[in-house]
Amino acid sequence: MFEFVSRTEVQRSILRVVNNAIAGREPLFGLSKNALDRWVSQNQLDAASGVVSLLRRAAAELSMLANRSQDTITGEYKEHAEAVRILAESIRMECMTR
Amino acid sequence: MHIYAFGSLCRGEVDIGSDVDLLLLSNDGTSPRVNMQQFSVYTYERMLELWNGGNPFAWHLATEARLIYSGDRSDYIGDLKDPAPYVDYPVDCRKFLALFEEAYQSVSNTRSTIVFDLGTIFLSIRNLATCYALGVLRWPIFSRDAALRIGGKSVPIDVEAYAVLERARLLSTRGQGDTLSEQDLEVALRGISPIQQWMKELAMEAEQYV
Repeated sequence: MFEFVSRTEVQRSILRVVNNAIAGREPLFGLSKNALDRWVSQNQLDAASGVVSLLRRAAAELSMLANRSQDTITGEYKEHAEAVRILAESIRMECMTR
Repeated sequence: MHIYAFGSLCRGEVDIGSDVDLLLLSNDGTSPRVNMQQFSVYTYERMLELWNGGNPFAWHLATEARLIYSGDRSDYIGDLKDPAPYVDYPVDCRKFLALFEEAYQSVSNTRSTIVFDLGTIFLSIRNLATCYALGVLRWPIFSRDAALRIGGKSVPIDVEAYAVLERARLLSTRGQGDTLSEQDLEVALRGISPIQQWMKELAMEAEQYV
């Protein structure tokens, strides 16, 4: 259950970075596939851009973690969690260069 | 292999944006034939551990899972007895209180993530109510509106503010709904102030009930 809290913290930190860096018609509301689709569409963003690609990868990893939320002590879960942390840093760097 | 549906679809809480929660049970916890992002995938062994540990997810499944497919015509979950009593509720209630407090602090500090934070507050309210009900009241209730349905322990919030929190949750997860206006945000922010005390009281009661 603790991972629930840390997943939320990571999402919040990514959203904060993205929404502070990219001012559009609508902020990014969450890191789900559907929330990302909406954000890209509403703000007419390039779906192939670096930041969108990184966000999609982060969303996919978070979705995997959510679906395995009862298995937080397994190696596989920890690998996905580490992938999200690395993607969060990459997103931060990508936003800094915009 | 067994496939089950659970969640809002099985509770009849269906709306236009309802997703379908699917559980896949297999011997090795994987299946090359499905998109792993669409399924909660577990081994039978792990599911049994959750069952015997009284995990809320096991109670959730025991309460509402419906068999979609069975490789051997058996109903694996349906054939299990009730899960063991849920004993981790004091810890879980405390963690959802922490989740609420972080989101509450965030909305107090910045607007850049306010929809996500209000959605997280909705989630923390619902989940704390669910853990409290299952642990203290021995009442397995997994409704999206569990926090409004636990009698005298229901969350003290006005209907409008609750509706804004729910809309925030749908925006941040399903990307659906109208953007929240300044007026919506004001309604929500006014409404969440008394919730903190309610959450603290339920978490404290859970600690003392043990």
